[in-house]
Amino acid sequence: MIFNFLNLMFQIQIKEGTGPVFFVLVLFVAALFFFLDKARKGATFKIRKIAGLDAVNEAIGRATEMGKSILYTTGLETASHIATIASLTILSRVAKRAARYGTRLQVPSFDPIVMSLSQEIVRESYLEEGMVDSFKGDDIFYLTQEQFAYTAAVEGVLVREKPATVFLMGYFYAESLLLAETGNSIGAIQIAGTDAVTQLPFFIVSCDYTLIGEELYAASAYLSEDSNIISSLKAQDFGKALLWIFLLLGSIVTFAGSTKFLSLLGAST
Amino acid sequence: MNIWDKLSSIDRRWIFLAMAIFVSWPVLKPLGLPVTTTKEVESLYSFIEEIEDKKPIILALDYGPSTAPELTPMAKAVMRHAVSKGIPVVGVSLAPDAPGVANDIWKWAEEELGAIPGEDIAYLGYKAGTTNVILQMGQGISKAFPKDYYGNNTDDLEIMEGFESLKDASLVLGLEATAIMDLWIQYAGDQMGVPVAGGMTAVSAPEAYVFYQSGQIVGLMGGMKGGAEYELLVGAPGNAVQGMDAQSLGHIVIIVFIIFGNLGFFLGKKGQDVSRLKSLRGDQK
Amino acid sequence: MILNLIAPLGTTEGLGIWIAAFLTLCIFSFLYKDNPFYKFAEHLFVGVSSGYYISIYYWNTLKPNMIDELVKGFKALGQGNTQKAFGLDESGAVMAEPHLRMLIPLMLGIFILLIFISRKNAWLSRISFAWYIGVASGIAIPTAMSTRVLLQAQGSIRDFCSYNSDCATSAGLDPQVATTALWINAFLLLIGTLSALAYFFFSLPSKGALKVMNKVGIYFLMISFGASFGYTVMARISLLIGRLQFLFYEWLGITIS
Repeated sequence: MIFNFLNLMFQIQIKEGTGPVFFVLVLFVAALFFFLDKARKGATFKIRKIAGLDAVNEAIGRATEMGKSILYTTGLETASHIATIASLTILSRVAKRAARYGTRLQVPSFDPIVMSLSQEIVRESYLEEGMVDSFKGDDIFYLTQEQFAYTAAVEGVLVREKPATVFLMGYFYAESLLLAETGNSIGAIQIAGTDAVTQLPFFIVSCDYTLIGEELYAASAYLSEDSNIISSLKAQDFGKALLWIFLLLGSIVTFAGSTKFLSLLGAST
Repeated sequence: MNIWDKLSSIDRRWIFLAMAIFVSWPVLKPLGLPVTTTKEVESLYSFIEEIEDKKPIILALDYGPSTAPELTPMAKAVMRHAVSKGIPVVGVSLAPDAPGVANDIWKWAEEELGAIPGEDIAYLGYKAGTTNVILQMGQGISKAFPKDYYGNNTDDLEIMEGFESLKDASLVLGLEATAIMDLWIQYAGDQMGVPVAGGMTAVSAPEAYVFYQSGQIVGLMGGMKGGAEYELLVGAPGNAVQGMDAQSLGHIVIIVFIIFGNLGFFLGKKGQDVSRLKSLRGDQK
Repeated sequence: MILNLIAPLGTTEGLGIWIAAFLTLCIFSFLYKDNPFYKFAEHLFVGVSSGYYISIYYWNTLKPNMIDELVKGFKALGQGNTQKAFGLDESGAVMAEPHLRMLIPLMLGIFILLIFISRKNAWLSRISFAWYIGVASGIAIPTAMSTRVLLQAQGSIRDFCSYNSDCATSAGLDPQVATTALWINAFLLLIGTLSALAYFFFSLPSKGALKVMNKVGIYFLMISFGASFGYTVMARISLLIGRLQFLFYEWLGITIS
C-alpha cells in the first residue's frame, strides 16, 4: 500500500519527469514548516556537541596569551553561498571573544560584499562586548577576486604577521592546502571548516581541527542559538533519515530483482 | 632528538629541493615510462569516435592560466580527435580568465590541425552568469553569445548552421577547475538531455567520479594523467605524455617522504601527543 | 637534449616569456623564505588581477548588458518610440533586447550598493537580495535535488540488479557484466553511503548502533579523503611540471631530441 502511494505521488507530473523532485521537495518543505512551527511554540531542539567548537575558545585564548593576532578567512565564495553564511555566524562568535580579550582579529576577504558583511558583523560583536573603540575597520579588508592572487596575499599576511590562530571557514577551492600548509608552517593553531568535499583532506592533515561538511552548518546553528536555524537543521536530519531508509529499502528490493525503486527515481527503465 | 624525531622534522626546503631535482630530470631527459589508459577516458574517446551526424561538440573552457598545464593538453587532444573526424567544435567560457588560454588553443588548432575558423571550429568567448548562460544557450546559442570572441556575428558562422541551441550539441565537454562542472551536468545533462563529459583538474576529479558511476557523464579525464591518456588514444603524444615521467618520479618522492614522516611521527616523541594524533586521524568525536 | 638560445628579448612574445619567467622565479623564491622578490610578485599579481577582473566585468557584463541597452532605450525614447524603448515590438510582444527594462535590475543593483553608502537606507538591499536568492534558489534547488540526490541514489542502488538479467536489462545495464567484483562494489558503496550519511545526523547523540555507524562512516570518509589527497598531489606536481616545461622549453629554449 505504501508502495502504491509512493508510486502515485511520484507520478504527479508538473512538467514531464519532475514528479519525484516535486514530491521530495514538498515533503522536505512540510518537515521544515513542522519543525519551525514547533520551535515558535517554544520547543527546544537538541543537537549533538561538535568537538571542533570546543577548540575555538581554546585557540582564541592561545592567541591572547601569546599576544599575537587571529586570522579569519570566510573562504572564496559569495555571500549567498551557504558555507559563507555559516562562516559569518561563526565569525560573529570569534569576534566577540576577540573583543573581550582585546585580541587583534584580521579578516582578509575575497568578495567585496562578504567583506562589508564581515565588517558589520565584527563591529556589531565589538559593540555587544562594549569594546567598539578597539574595533579597527582596516583589519577586515578586501584583497582580490583572483583565486591564487588572493592565496598569495593571505600567505603573505600569514608569514609576516604570524598569527597564533587561523580560522579557515567557508568554501574553498585548490588554495585550501596552500593556505593551511602556510598556516601550519608558522606554527599557528588552525581550525578549518568547509563543505567542499575535495578540499577536506587537506584541512584534515594540516589543521588541528576540521569541521567536516555539514558540521560547518551545524556548528553555526549551534553557535547562533537561534531556534529557527536549529529547526531547519532538524528538517535536514529528517530528509537525511528518509533518504537513508529509501536507500536501504531500494537496495534490498533491487537486489531481489525488482526495478520499482529505480523507476521511482526516474531511471531509464 | 632521536633519528625518528629527526625524520619527522626534516626542513621542508630539503623536500622542495628533492622534488625540484626529481621532477626536472625527466622533463629534461624523458625516461619513457609506460602510460596506461583507463575506462573513464576510453569511454569518452569511444563516445566521440561514434558521433556520426557531425553534430558539434561544445568545448567549455572554464579555466585560466593557473590550471592550464593540466587542462590544455586535454583540450588539444580532444580538438585533434574531433577535427580529424570532421566534427565541429564550438568553444565557450564561463570563467573570466579563460579567453587568453582558449585563444592560444584556437590559434594552435588553426596552425597545427589546419582547422578553418568559423567552419570547423569557433570560439564564442566568455560570458558572465554561469547558470544563466547555460540556460540561455538552451534557448539559443546566439542568444547567449550574439558575437564570437573575434567579433563576428555568431549566426553568420557556417558552423552554426542547424546548430540553434545547446540541445543540438552531440556532447558538452567541460574542462573545469571549479564547480562549474556541476552546472553543466545539472542543466545541460540532466535537464536538457545533452550528453556531458568532464575534463577536470586532479583536485576536482574525485568529486566527478560519482557522476561517472551513476551514468550522468559519459566520460572523465582527471588531471594531467587524463590528458596524457587521451593524447595516447588519438596517437599524438604531447606535453601531458611528456610530463608523465616527471609525475611518476614526483609521486615516488612524495611517497618516500610520507613514509619518513609517518615513521618519525609514530616512533618519535610527537606520536605520544595523543590529542594531536586524534585530530590528525580526524577522530574528533 | 639540445640547448638553443634563451627566448629572444627583442620581440613582444620574447619579452612576455622573460617577464613570465622572472615572475615564476620570484614566486618560487618563497620556497626558500619570504623575500622582497616574492613580495613584489605577490603585490603585482593582486593588483593586475583586480584590474583585469574590473575590465572583464565592465566589457563583458556592464557595458553590453546595461550601458548599451540603456543607451539604445533612451535613443528610442528620444525618437518618441516608447514601445521600442522598453523592449517591446510593434505588436507589444516582449523582445529579447530589454533596453529600458534594464532600469529594474539597475535599481536592484543600486539598492545593494546602499550597504556601502547609506546605513539609513541599507534595508533596501534586502529587496535585491530577496529577489536574487529567490530566483537563484528556484532555479538551483529542483535541479540540484534531481542531480545530486535522486539520480545519485539511483546510481547507488542500480548495480544491485546486475545478477538478475531481466532487472539488469530494464535498468539499462549489460547482464553480461554481472561479476562478483561489481556486486562487492555495489555493497561497499551502499555501506559507505549509509554510514557516511549517518555520521551527519546531528539530532541524535552518537550512542549505540549510531556510534558504530559513525565510526564506520568516518573510516569511509577518511579513505575517500586519502584518495582525494593523492589526486591533489598529482595536480600540484602537474602544475610544477607545467612551469618547468615553460622555463626549460620556452624560456631557455631547450628541445628534447
